[in-house]
Amino acid sequence: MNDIAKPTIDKRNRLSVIWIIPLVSFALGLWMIVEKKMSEGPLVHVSFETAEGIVAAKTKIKYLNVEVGQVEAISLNDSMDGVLASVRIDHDAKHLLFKDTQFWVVRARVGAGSVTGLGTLLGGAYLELSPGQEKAMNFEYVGLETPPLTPAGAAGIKLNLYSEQAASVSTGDVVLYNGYKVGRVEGMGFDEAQRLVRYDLFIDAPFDQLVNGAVRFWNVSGISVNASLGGVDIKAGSLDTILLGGVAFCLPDGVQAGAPVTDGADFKLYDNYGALQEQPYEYSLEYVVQFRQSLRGLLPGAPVEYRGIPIGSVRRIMTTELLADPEGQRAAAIPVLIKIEPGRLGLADTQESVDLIKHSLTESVAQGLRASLETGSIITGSLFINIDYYYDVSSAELGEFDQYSLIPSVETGFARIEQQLSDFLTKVNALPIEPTIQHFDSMITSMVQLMESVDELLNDRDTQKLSAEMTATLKDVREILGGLSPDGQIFQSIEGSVSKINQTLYNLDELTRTLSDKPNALILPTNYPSDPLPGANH
Amino acid sequence: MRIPRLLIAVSSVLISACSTTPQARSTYLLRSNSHVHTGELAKVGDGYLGTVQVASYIDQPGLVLELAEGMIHTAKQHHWAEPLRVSLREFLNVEISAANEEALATIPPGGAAADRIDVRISQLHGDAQGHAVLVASWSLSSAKQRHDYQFAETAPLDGVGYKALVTAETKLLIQLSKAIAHELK
Repeated sequence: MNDIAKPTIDKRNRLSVIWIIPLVSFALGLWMIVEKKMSEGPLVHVSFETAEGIVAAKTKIKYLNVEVGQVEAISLNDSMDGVLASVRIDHDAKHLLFKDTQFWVVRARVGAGSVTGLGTLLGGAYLELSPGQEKAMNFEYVGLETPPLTPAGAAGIKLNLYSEQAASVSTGDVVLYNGYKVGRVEGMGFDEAQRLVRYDLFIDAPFDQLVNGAVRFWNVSGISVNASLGGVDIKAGSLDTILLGGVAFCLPDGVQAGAPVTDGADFKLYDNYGALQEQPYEYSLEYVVQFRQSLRGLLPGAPVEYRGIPIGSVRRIMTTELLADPEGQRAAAIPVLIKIEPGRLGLADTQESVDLIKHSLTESVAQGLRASLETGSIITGSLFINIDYYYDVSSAELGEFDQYSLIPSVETGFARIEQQLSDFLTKVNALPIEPTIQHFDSMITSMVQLMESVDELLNDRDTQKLSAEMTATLKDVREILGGLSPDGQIFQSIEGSVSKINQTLYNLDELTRTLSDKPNALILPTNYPSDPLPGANH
Repeated sequence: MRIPRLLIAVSSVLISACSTTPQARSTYLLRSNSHVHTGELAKVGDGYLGTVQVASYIDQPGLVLELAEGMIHTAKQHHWAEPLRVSLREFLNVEISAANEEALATIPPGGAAADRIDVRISQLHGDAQGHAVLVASWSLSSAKQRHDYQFAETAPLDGVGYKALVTAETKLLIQLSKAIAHELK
């Protein structure tokens, strides 16, 4: 029984195969972790004013309605005045993240012009992503509270419009060119430096090519009604602009296109198209004109015309400069600052045109160009300034008034008539009227006496008898003169006598010539040679 | 002795003078041959003859003959019977009336339609080639207007002698009268 062999105990320390299982599990887990980390996109933080509609681990991130990420967590920011959304962007969408990438919450919105985001009422709000263009990577973003009107990097041009008053233009309003939508108002604010209301415009490409330095913008919101003596003028844009407002721009008539503009160019926003037409030019010259007559009715903005053609307007009456004149020499004439715009004369709205007009005016003043104050309306008493040539004025040149050039002026219209009337009355006053009247009176007295004398003379019987004798004498004279007429007897007799005298004189002349040729012809016979015969071919 | 010699000399001169035969002189009357009848004129128009002037070289009795260019001879044996300025007026008056078929007024008629005829005879003579020459200018004038005309014609002489010259000049004057009458119509 003792034959039972003793077990052989192998004391080798060998690792059990069973350990392969946990090792493989560990390797798989590690691979899965690495794989997950490798496939996971970047985590970015987007700050918002509120987390309304945003749910952690539920709210999706979309770009062009394609999911590209998800909100992982929401927390309050450090200052506790906003929220910070941690957003995981898919790995294959991480190239959408740029420095200027924009995030905003898409939720149902009801605006003045549209209703958007109705789809989110059922599916819930989501974050919309708009990739930017700047390549630098950034993981901290400030989310937009409202959707951007223009996607970042959109082709076009950004402009700034300035207005003295906040018009009925608001963010989102359209920008029109010839009634066609070419852009939008992206925002508005107040420029404290210039104390003007600023509007941010974006003009989409390719319409940005329509914008140049000479275009003008005006407010087309609502309806413009202008009632005047010429009738009622109603101007209105499209229904959208009437209800919601908008801005339009154009190149004014007669104005040449300006230089191209770049992003951020500044323009003035005119209140309406009428205001634009009144002042569509950028370049102008300023001159001063002095008048000694009353300026009642001459208001800033009154037209300055050249022979009826508007060439500018009155800027202001320079009462301040007048009072500040230390010499007091200008007190007699009131200076008026006027503006002349070369563009109104068909010239280009450029500095070169300004120089041309300045040179032309300098020469024209020497040739008689003068400014005058004219009556625009007798009813309203409005005045305007007319510039024209006058050939009966003394020579003059452009003067100076403060830093402005001074155009000489003449008095015309009612003022000139008034002056001429005054001069005439002065001359009348200077006439020796009283001595003249006395002399005239004495002359009338003499004439009365003379007439009385004539009357007495005519009533005298001898005078009446003399008249009858004169009548008889005149009758005799007429009869005598009748005898001297060509058909009268005396005339016939005289004509016959004159004819005989002429004949005698001729004979005497012939006798004289004969005696001159032959002195003895009185005694000795003279035989003249026979006259040559006509027709005998001498 | 001296007295008888003087008487003899004077007697001889007188005898010689008295025995000389004076040269014969022919005179020509410028008259129209148009028919003139006795009685009241049938018709008197508005035209009347104003002035009739003649050039100085023919305003004398002798007929004129142009022997060469610019050289004239005034005939001593051939005279006009009347001064030309008188006879020409009468001649033209009759001939114009005849051509116009109505008499010219003897005194200027009133009214703006009256036509005054003024004639100037610049040349009236015979030339060396056997022609009569007449150059004249004349005008028709009324209260409103005036027209001037010229006449320059020649006519060949029918024969030799001053009678033929007078005949040719008369023909030319008749042509002038017809020309005036034509414009007067």
